[in-house]
Amino acid sequence: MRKSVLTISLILFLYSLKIYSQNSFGLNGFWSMNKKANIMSNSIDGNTSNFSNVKDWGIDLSYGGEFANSTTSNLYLLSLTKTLDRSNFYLRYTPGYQKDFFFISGQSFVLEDSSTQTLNSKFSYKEIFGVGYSYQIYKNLSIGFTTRLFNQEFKNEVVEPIFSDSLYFNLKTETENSSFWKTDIGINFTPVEYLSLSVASINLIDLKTNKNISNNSEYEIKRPKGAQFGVTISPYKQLNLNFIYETSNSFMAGFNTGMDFENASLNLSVSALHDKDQTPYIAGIVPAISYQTKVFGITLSGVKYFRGKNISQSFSVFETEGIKNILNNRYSFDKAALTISFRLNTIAEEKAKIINLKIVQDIFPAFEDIYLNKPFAVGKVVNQTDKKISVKPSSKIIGFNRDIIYSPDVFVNAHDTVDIPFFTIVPDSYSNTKNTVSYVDFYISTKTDENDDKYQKPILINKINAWDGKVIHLKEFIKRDADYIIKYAKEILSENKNMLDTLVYSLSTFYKAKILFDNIVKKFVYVADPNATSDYVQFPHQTIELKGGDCDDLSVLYSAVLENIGIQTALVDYKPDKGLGHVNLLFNTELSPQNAKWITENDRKYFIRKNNKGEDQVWIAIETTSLTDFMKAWELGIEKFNNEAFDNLGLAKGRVEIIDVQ
Amino acid sequence: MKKILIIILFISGYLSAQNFVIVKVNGDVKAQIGISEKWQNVDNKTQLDNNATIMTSKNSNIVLMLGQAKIKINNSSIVSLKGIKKLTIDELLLALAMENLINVPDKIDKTINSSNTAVYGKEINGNTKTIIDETNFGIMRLNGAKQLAENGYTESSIVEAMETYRKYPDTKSLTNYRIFFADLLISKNLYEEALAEYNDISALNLNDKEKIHTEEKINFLKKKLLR
Repeated sequence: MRKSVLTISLILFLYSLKIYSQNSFGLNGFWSMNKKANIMSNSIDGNTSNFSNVKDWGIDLSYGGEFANSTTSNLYLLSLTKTLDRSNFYLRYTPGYQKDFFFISGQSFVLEDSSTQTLNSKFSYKEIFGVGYSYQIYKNLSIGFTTRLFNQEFKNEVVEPIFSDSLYFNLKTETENSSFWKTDIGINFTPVEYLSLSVASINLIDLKTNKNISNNSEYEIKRPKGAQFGVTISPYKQLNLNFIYETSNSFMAGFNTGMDFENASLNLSVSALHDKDQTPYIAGIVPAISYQTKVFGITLSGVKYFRGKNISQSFSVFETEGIKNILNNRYSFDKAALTISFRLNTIAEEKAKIINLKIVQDIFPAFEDIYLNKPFAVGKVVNQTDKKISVKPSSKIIGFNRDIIYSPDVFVNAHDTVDIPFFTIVPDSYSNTKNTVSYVDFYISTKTDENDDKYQKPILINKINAWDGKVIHLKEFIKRDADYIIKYAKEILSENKNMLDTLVYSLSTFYKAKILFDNIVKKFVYVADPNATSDYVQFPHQTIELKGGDCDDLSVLYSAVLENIGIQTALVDYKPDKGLGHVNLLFNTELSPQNAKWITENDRKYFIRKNNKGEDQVWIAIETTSLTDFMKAWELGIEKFNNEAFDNLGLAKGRVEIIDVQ
Repeated sequence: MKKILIIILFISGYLSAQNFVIVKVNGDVKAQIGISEKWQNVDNKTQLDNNATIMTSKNSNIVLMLGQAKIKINNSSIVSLKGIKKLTIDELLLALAMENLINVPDKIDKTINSSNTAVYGKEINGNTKTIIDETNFGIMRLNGAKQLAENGYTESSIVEAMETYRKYPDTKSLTNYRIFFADLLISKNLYEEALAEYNDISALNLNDKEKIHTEEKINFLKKKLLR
């Protein structure tokens, strides 16, 4: 919608304007300031701010001819451009930017042999060279200047009387030279992808280096001060509408379009201009067609004036109005030019760039598996090319990762911006008992050996026993110390082998859980965390060694013990309305509902869970903090579970969550 | 840190308890208090709150008052007094949804014990002595659920019935009970749930009358759900 409004506004604006001479005329036409800008980079005529998309080095050569009475050909220009970081430097030599005028003065004299000699004048206007500089302040904003050196030479034949023994006349040429620097500044701004704006001065600084002109000053290039405003709208991806307006009421308008191939593009530009000193209303057009690859480009362009071949004017017109532009004036002829461009890239092209990066979770070293599946950071990455690319993200947490950790490749469409996840691996040997702040180096690469971009962010690495308070992450503590716990549990069960042998097999799970509880948890002490806000969970072996812990530690230990002998457990997260929550434990007795009566005569002491084979199995809840015997822990556990999960509908309302450990 | 004092468990349980007044006891009526394993005899002086579960044997019944509400529990029934409460339709739907929430997620398939553990005990030989008659106990639960409905606690009645099916799977084959509770779902306009229940029922051994009733209800529910 906004694009359409802008496009229509531009067309109405064009229609309502009176079109005058275009001072910012460029031999290759007017190209948009978007990605096709490589084509215009050999010109600073319509690009006062020296806007450039050249990545490193650029060399351009334009050769062409002017179709006057006799066609003349010339090397129009040779330019060199170099980009260093955000700066672009430009230099051009313009031998073909020259316009010569021959005048017959109307005065003549008769020579000795009776022939007549006419006195002539020749005025030559040249641009010698130009330089430019621009600086990219932001990705969408650049500022720059261009300065050009011009030379004007005025030769007039005069007859000089010489007084000696006899009076005679000498024909001689009086020459006056004038040079001046013309310097302008400009800004380019692209607020949104489909709109580019530019503003630049015209003849802002006019510095004469030679002021010894006395007789021909009225013939110098006219250099009125002013400003120019450019706009490019892209209503469609492959169409740019361009317009440049000068405060002297001149403008040039046109469009660019093109087709992209796998490694090249074919582009077309047509620009129309009007000159108040020329007829007809549309003075001429500048068509250009360009084929561009990554390193090479060829552009064929031309200027066609609609006034016809007769461009003779009286000298008085020249005397009063002169010329304002060497290449485009009322005395210009049709032209054609062939421009060959080379782009040499000696630095790695940054195909992808990290715009922003967010640490989504601090590092909890106990959560080994979490970081393999859940990213610890997400980077906003932009594809700066016009092709789909594969981006390989990687990272290294300094003082934590020994090596660079590679995350899965992500495909990014041309010019698209995506969120890319970064995963990491917790080293087995990490055992720091203090929180530390470190830095993460993030890299993205589109090649195998070089990084396209790098980003650094601080990150908190928590101590080894740190827990983020999410019950689901207690599973990571439960999985630790497997070998130690299996050995520990087996020793206890072996001591009770005789009792277990008397049981029917179906009851063994229940009784193993009972024996382990009564021999481990029952003998421990409940120790509340000294600081309730300090989330610290003991690994199972630490709880055994300390013979105590809080509800998290005891639930983790009991779950670890049961899981390691093959008894399925689940944590119950009782979420608090506010303040502190609670955790207790469920385990699968593996009894069928029909056999539940073997362990209890009260059907409120268990509940049924269907496994993924569709089989109903009896589960019971255990309150590990009771530190009494198993039967009491069962009673306390199931009462709380029945009350909060079922009677108060906590499970359905999300206030109670069952988190299966495996 | 997830912590709570155990005492809070008891306090909260105490505060939420509703006291029932025994109006009349006829015959052999027993009660199980909370999660106690024992059944104790009930007489007019017994204190009952909603933690209790009442069991009436053959030819016995009990009449209770909860506030102004009078509840009669007839013979051969088991009723958890916690179930004597009014539920909204939304609460009923949440309770029914819990059936799926409680199940083990699909990714978990761990019915086999770890192989690194010693095997204790012998395989069951089928002659194990049972403490209670499971099917009978289930039927008594369903009778209790029926009486909740008859006393005006339809939503609680449905929840109790579904819970009984899970804990006493053999009761799922009792077609007359299944039809009774499926019709309760219809009475509460829970057509999707009722259709699922009737589809289950249609796979059971039904007599001719039940077959006709089931087909009629399925057609009725399908039409309702098509609208």
